[in-house]
Amino acid sequence: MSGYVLDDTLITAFAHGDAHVTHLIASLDARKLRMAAPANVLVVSQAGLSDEQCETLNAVVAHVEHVMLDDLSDLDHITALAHALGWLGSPHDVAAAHAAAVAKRLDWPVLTLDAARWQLVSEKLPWKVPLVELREP
Amino acid sequence: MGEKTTIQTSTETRNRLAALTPKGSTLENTIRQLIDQNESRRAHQRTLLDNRFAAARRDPEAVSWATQQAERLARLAQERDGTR
Repeated sequence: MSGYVLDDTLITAFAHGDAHVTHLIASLDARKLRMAAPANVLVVSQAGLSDEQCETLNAVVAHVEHVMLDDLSDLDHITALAHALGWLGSPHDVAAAHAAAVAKRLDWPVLTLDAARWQLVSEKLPWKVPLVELREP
Repeated sequence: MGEKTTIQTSTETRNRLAALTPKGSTLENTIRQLIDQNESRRAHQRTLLDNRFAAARRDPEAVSWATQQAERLARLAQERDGTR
């Protein structure tokens, strides 16, 4: 089964203890739906967090079976990210560029809590980034 | 400690391990310490995650919302798989 790419709005919400997003990740895992966590999304999401918050976020990647780290260990993946960054221009938005590059490669939609966060990104990239927006109550 | 065996490493790894080993101790002690530290960190992570998931399960609104969204996302994924 295909899966979803987690963006920074979603991962940041988890890192801050959002119960809705936390239970969503557990529910997707229980349904064997795969979730890609791009390394640069994790980097941006962890900036400014406490050690405990960072470790909780790391725990999701390390221990939740269907969450996969996209860690840029493949040179082609680095180049794909660089192309995405180039299209987005300055200032660099590495979290969006990495999520968009992974979504393109895996042909999975990006899961976000805020579609507006992706508006400018979608306008600048020459390919369509499929989005699924989740609106919290 | 029980039966002994041999593991092969690069010289660099052996040297790094030796650098972590205090005088009078053994490479095996260092390896065991590193394994203990790793296991301890993983157990701590597991506890953090279990606590977080348990707290979320105690929030009925979050459970209801997340269950609905997960079902919708599973349907969407199935539809995507069906069209491939």
